[in-house]
Amino acid sequence: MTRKEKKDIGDELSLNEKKLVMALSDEISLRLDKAMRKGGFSKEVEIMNAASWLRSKGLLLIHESVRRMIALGHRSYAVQGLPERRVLEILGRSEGVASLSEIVSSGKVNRAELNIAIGWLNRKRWAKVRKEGEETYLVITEAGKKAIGVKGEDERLIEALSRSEIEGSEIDPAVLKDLKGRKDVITEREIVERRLELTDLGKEVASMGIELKREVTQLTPELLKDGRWSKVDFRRYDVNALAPIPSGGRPHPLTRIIERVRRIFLDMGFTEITGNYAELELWNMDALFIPQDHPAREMQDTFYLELGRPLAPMEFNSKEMDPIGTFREVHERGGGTGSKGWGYAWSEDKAMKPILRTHTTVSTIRYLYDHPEPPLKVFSIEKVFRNESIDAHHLPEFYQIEGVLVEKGASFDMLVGLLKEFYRRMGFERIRMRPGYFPYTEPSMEVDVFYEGRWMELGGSGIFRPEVTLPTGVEQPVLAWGLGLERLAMMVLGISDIRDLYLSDVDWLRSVAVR
Amino acid sequence: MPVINMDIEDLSRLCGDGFSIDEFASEIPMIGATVEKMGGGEISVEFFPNRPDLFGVEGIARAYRDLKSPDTTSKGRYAITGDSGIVLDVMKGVSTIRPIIGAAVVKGVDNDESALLSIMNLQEKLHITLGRKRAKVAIGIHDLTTVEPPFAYDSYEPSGISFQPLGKEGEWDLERILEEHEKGTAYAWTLQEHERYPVITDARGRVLSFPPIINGELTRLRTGKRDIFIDVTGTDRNAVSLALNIVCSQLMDRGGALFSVEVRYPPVEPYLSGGMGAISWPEYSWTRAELDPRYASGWLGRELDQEEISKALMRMGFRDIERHGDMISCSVPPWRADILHEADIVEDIAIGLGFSSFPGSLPTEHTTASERSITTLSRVLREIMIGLGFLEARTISLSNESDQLEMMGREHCPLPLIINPITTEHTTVRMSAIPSLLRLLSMNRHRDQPQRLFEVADVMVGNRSMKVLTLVSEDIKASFTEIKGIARRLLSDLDMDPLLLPSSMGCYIRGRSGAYMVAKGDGGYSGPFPELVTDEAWPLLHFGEVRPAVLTDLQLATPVSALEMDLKLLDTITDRAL
Repeated sequence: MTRKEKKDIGDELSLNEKKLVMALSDEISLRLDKAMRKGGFSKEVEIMNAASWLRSKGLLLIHESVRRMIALGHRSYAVQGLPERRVLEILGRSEGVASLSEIVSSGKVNRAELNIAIGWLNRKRWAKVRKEGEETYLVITEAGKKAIGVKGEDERLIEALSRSEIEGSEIDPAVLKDLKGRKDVITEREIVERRLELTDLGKEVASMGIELKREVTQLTPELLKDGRWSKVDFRRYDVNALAPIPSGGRPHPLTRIIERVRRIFLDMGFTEITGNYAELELWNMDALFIPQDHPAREMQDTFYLELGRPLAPMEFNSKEMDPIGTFREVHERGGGTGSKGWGYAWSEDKAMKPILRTHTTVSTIRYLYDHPEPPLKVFSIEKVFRNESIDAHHLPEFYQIEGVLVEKGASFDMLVGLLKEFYRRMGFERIRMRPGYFPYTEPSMEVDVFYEGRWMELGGSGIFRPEVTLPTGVEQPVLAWGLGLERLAMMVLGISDIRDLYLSDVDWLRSVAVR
Repeated sequence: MPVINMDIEDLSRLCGDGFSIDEFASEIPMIGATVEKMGGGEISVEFFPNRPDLFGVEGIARAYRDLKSPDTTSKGRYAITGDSGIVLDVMKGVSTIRPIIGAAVVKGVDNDESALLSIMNLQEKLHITLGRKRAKVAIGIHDLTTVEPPFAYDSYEPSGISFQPLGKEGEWDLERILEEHEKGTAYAWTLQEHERYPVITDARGRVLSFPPIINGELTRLRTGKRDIFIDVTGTDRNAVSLALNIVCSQLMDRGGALFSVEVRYPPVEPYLSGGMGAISWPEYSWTRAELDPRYASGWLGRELDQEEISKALMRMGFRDIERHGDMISCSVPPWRADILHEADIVEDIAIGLGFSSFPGSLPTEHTTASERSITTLSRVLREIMIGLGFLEARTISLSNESDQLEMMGREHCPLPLIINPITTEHTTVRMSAIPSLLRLLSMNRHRDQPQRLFEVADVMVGNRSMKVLTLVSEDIKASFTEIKGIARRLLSDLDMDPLLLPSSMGCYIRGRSGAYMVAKGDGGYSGPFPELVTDEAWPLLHFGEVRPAVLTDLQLATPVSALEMDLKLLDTITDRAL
């Protein structure tokens, strides 16, 4: 490394880094606290930041050592002496013998301390216990006599600790163990001691001479105006420093997915249609050749409505028809569609019940009645309702991706191709078609996509039955599909609880990745 | 949808030589099933409700055998062997209760434990699906050797006849069965309109069955009993006939031979108009169906010759596939009832060919696409709201009267009422989305503030659904001034300058809300803010500071301002392209 390069390294350092290098330049090594004082740092975090930057640049070594520090817990033994010492002194003053009650009444020890004292007097062999009748006496031993006025090692340690904490390694382990045996006398803590030392490179950089400039954290209008910006150093940022993420406004994640789906169908030439939440069973079910006793038409699957204003059975711009007569005929005997029909007595009362639509296929069928001339390519992405309570997998309302295609040459094969194309554009490569069942399509097809190791069922599709389409006036095959949106969205968003979408945590809305 | 649990060994035996369970599990979805689980010597498969013939291991094995290698002799084997000589007389009394009854005898069934378990499972699945929980169809299976023909199907007073019901001790009358027997309490609803109940008895007046509730202990079928009498009762002749055929086919798969039973109906309705005098049950025949191969080719998008069609249909169990001029005809198995139309046969051709054999093609006709103007409008509004720092939320449009009326300070509004709600939370569809967003704020009250949310929401007014833009701003500084500013931003972005009036919307603090009004349109007002309509103008949007009582009820401790805009009205007055 050339001198120039070493000089450059010095010039590139931040103000704190420069201060630290200068503080260490004439030292072999310095303890962190001393380096802090010498370098004029006011906060430990400043010097540590500078140190770790210098280390990462190869200019500094940080030596860490862990020390176990011993300190006094409660201070009462330091002030009053150990309980056995206090009792020994009483014995010394009363000719070597005293009864327990005399000792307690002296006020130097309480009952609890006396018990501790007896144990230790015995252990240190300073006194013996003697029983005479009802009374118990303590009698001093020879060792006890010698100990009077002479501090034991444990007492000396307490005395020393009362002045300052001491490193564990400087204490006789046996003495320490004895004191630890006494409740709350000793506390321990570990401290990490850091010493800072310039590397050879660091020393060389320091020897090139270091120039201290004023450092600023924020470029201000004043600095810009008076030109001082050229004479200052800008403090460098730690790129890993925390920066709060602004939330701002964001679209709901489902909106993005709906827009993607809509875009795909628009790109393929499909026109968006809409419908009404409230529908008559007549259109939601009977128009689709769903028999009136079909399990899907039972109360527990459908929300039935009471409307202030009834819905009209007929609402077409371009067509005159008698839906009631038509659907009765088709259900009962096939209605000239080439079908046998279901062969039951169709009920107008049942058909005239208002419900919350259970699928948007009802919008499609209404559209077909109004626009029977092909080519027809329409879609909708709207909500449908099922009588379910809310849990992680179910909602009483959810979106359906609905669509139909009618054109010359439309066929089952085209339905396969179209849905493959849709899911391919949504980002799924492996797509599987298998037989399905819906009362209003034949053939009926389920579409599965392969996702994270398994096949996920995403939608139903098929060609509308002749019993459904012939009364509309459409003679070609009508390719139709009703695909789930939420399940697709959950896969795309990687969530497992459908409630996240509609009972959202605001923080999730603020942070969920755009997909 | 029905899930069929099968013992793999039993399935393997019924499928015949060369069976591999792994092959089965990978191929069975291709005829319309989902493998639910496999393991411990069992496999569970879910089928669609249109194929009740696949609700038992025997029917599945039958379909699978054909799929692998069609058996050309099957039409001869699945047929009636002869007449059992047994007669069942139907009495007038049942004609108004449970009129239809069909019956059959199957002899020589290899009735081991698997067979017995399977027949009980099939019976239960048919009861639930085809039988509409026994109301439409109920099946009784009896040990023929314990009773003496002829049989009679008649109606009785609730205490008019007693017998020992299956699984119980002693003789019970019909009333006690309906009140105390577990099957009685479960299915009493099917008879609740009637004062007399249907019962099948033998020549000595002993009870075979009290349909659709319970059989007698007398005819309990045990393993090793090879001759079986089947009764099927119900309200729909087609469904009864199909159920009987499916049960008979299953017993024939277990080695049984099918014999007919003569059922004699009385000369009353519904038998007269149904052409039912004396019928030899079961109606077990292979019916002929016709198909135009050009129709099939057109529908499937693939030129199919007769041989391809024939091969596919054979794999699906159809037989005698023949060409007559331009048409192809075939025999439909007696257990298939889902063939209502040519289209149903076309589907079977597609399944027989395999859905995976269709490569897929794309539409070729040119069409010009467009989205709805309200979709475009909604997108523009979303962009504006996001630019203003609002988070888009989506909430459930089902709501309740308390939120829609009390919280909104509305006396009455034309809410659509849900007749059969499952929770008190969801008894209507909302007319305003303000309560939904306030509830979302309440749910998130421990999250950082400010919280500014908006939704392009669906609401219902009367019997019509429509869209509104709703926003709430929960902020220590939320105020009339702030929300009015946002309203002005929206209107100015839309290049509009409507009239501003004080508003009387009940969800806001009095004197701290406003409404922007536009000239009224044609016809009556049917928008979401009827209380703000004046003689000359209709409300486009309202805004204001939400009432403190509403906030405290929702445990919100920060002021909230809100705004709601009628997008349907906006869509009709913004005529320029956005």
